[in-house]
Amino acid sequence: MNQVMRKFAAGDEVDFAIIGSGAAGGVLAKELSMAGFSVVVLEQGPYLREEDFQHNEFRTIFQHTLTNNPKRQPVTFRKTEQEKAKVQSTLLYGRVVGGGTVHFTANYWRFHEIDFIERSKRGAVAGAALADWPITYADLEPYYTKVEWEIGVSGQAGVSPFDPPRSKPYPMPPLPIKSTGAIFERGARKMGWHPFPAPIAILSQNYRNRAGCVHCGYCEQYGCEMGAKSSTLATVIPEAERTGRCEIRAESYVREIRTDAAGRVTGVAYFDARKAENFQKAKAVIVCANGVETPRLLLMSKSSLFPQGLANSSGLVGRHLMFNTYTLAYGQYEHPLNEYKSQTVTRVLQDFYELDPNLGFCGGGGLDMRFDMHPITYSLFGLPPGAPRWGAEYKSEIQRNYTRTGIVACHGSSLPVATNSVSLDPEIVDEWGLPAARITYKDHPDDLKTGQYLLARAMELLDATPALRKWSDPVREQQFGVHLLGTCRMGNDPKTSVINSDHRAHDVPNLILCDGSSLVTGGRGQPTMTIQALAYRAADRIVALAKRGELSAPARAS
Amino acid sequence: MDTADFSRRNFLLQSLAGAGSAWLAAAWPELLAAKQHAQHTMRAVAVGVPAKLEFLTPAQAAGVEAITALIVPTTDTPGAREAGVVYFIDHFLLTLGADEQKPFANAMASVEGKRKELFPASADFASLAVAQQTEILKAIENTPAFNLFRSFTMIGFLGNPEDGANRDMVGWKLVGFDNAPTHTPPFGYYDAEYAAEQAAAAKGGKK
Repeated sequence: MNQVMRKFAAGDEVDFAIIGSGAAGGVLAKELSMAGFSVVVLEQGPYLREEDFQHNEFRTIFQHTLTNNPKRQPVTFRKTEQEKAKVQSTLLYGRVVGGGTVHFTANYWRFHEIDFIERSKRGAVAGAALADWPITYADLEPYYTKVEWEIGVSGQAGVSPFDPPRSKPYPMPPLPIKSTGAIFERGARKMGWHPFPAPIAILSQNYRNRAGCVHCGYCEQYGCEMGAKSSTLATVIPEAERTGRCEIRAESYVREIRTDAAGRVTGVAYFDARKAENFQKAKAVIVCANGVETPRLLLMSKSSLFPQGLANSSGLVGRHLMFNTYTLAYGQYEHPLNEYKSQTVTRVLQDFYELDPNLGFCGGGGLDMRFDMHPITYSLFGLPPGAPRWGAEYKSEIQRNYTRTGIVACHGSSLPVATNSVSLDPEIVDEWGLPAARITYKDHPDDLKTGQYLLARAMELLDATPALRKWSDPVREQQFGVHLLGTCRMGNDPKTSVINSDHRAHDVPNLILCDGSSLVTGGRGQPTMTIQALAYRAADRIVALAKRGELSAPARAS
Repeated sequence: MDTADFSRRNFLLQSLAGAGSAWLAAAWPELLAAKQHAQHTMRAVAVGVPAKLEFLTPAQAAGVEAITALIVPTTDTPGAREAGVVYFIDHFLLTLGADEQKPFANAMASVEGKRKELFPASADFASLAVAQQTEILKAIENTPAFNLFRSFTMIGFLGNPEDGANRDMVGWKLVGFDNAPTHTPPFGYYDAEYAAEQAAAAKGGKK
């Protein structure tokens, strides 16, 4: 594409500095630049193009080409606040222009009505800080539809009886069914459940000058070299650049959001690719850095006015971290599935989205079937427990079963727990000298029960298919997160939430937060669609606020 | 590479950017081929690694090759030896895996230590009988040293030929992985069966 991207000069003040270019940051960059505002997007990772994406398992996955590298940015982990956290690989997130949307699987489930009102419907849950959202499904519905049509989502409405109401069908039909989809659909029907074609943010046909999926199979965990995956890199970011008012500044790692004596944000200090420090002046700052990096940045932006970190008068910045539960059941089949071809998921079911309260725990989820391993990953991690790990029998095992294995993946809720959190590690620093994110996380007991319940259904489904052999990973307390949610929650009360329903920080009038951190509840395991719908909604609110001059208002008396 | 051909492909790629979708749909197969060709050409990495050593000594290489051949032995199908895994590892330690040199040296030392303990009279790992080599690996199979050899071997056996792994794609052929740049449905047995059932049902419905 031959458009010339706008470059702002050092010292220029822009209307908006957006931190992060993923699901939310990309959308906001496009919407605000189209609305006439000047925008700089600061992205930690590099600006890779379609031609940089490789059909290469080792380079992409084992060398962190598209994601955070724990060697450069260590993270520490502990289960409880009483323990000393240790460096361990705890998080996976996108770290390129396009963020996590470049490597994601592209499961685009909407949240259901229950996700917004679970607290009032279910009542309090001991040990959890369950809360209703300040908005409802109906408020967000037009924006879910907008996401589907703006970026391109494939799917089929009206098949699942559990679907929330929608104002428009999908813009294009579902992607072609794979063998796991066929097996899953047959098994689920036998069980009396309701499988339906997966809603996927990958083009099943040509759409708005982008080409449909060619089924190369280098999809989940890879960047799409065809632009068929509806990442922000392939969709809204080029549109933002074409306005001539938006600069995507890659390899720019923000270390601090600065404020003036009145408590208003003035801009951001960041390291460039050579680790030199720069400052970007902005009339307002929007943080879309993900559910860990956003609170980490706020906590690093301490000042005499904000001694607990920016926008943290509630003390809730970094709290209520939710990973979503994720449990897996594996099956081996008589005939080849060849799951390495095409994109990942083709059938889903949501019969267990809202589990019966009489079960004695709060939660729910959905199931899909897939086999998301390329050969190296499979040979090292995909075999049943007790299978030989080397030698002639091992060789026969991988020879027979690489193409014949399927996985029922169970995606479930995580309850918000105040002590599950992101904080700054007191000792460990990253390659730039910034404090490492310290994750404290212990699943709520109900989450483990939800995971166990869903896994039992997955094993029933494997029996119904029928699999020749089946096994599952044990349900354990999670120590690894890919979905990073809930850490700057939205709410009406500044004492119990960090942002209001316009995504504006309660404490700082010209600071907006919009990403996984905004979520009040974590849904049932597929958050990106909701993050993106929130971003489209936030854009409308921000434009309205800016036009009314409210982003220039003085800070709230603290 | 044919330069004229390459610039024509580049032209097609640029056209792709501004094309309307109707035209795009019609021209798509050719454009796709052009785009993939151009990308793969741009990534003109040496495909395959010559069977020569750059990092390991011949004695070390003999030991490494013997280890890889125990992990994926040659049977009625090719194994790590035929896939040239030792040459991949040699090349890897100087390139993509340069920061693995130290863990690799530790793993080698660990195998040597076990060899001297179990077979003190032996000269080196490679000259031992397979049964004795197997005994050594069994003794360390739950250690980081073994896991390193296992990971390196599988990356070399099932990795990408452009990185010097998986010579003649013998690893991919073994497991049934087809690295074609695109695929078309049906992808596997069960979706083919599903499509046949749907077609039969549709036919039945018309009667």
